[in-house]
Amino acid sequence: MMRRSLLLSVTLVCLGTSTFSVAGPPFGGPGDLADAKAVWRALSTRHLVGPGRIMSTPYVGQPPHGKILDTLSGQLTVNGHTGPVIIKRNYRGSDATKQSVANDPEEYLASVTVMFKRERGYDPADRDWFWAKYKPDGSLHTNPKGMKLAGRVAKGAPKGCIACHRGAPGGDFVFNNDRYR
Amino acid sequence: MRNSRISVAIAAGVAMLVAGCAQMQSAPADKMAFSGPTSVAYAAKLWRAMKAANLVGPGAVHGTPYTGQPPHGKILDTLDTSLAVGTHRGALIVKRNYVGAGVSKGSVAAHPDRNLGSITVMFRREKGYDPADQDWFWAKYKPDGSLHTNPKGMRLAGRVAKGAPKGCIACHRAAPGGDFVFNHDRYARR
Repeated sequence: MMRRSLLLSVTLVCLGTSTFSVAGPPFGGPGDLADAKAVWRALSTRHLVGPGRIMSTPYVGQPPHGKILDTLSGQLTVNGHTGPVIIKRNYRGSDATKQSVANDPEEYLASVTVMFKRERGYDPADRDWFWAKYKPDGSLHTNPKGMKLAGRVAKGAPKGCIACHRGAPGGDFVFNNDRYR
Repeated sequence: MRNSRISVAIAAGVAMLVAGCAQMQSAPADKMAFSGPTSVAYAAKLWRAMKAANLVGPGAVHGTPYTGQPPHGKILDTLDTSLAVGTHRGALIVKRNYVGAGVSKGSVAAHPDRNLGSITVMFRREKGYDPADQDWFWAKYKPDGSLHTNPKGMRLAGRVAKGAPKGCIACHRAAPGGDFVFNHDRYARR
């Protein structure tokens, strides 16, 4: 019994060090938060988030994204790097429908999930995507452990942005199209 | 005889000139419902503003394609926002109309620059532009920003096609909310 718990704690320590050593956690760190802020500002300038943002036509989504979604894609320049960006507005609420969201998007907007393709080498194993889950005001959502959702979310975990999007057709982590292969 | 012939010619010329002036006065460009020089010039100005805002042209922002219905494209991708054109800011709807036998939501998502037949635009002009029909400016662009024409060769920009039993205004008048917009009622004037 004691041996088993010792083994368990050794395993946990090893897991901990292998995930969080050298480069720190893959997401939610100070650098990731600064990146998230820079991305939000760039999106805001382009009228892709925030008040007066460009709307597209809402459609029916599926978990873990919103019941109704509105997704835009384009190119974004952040800190001198230009890459593809995908902005998904996640709408929630028991009476959220394509029509109710189209009529009053602010009422149902729960989160804005963003993928921004970073410079080569940012995350070579997973196609260099930066992931963030924003609240409508630009602050970040957190996971149950209180980690802010920005960066390589949640690299190494069995669930989360990277784990799920790895299953996207075309190997580009994008489900809606294969334009970013 | 010769003098009288000349004076007849002069009189006819003057008459034509007067008639021309009268026509110009009775039908200045901006009084034409659509396709007149003022409408065409405004369409060009609007296109430039949309391009600067990354709403049309290469590198434009894309939404999610969905299935449309006639007279619009088989597959559509529609964005709306507000845009400033000169000193006026108004609501703007940009609809990409995808046409062609093999076109599907998937094909448009994969290649948004292919099968793009037209870009139909509604832009809310200043009050008084077309008070009876909610002041919308209508235009049907080709992907390069030039204008589509109707079967009579009239360019589709302005109050299209005001007074006609078919066309933008006639059909959109039936939109719920009385705002000429089918997809939502965000632009209804309350």
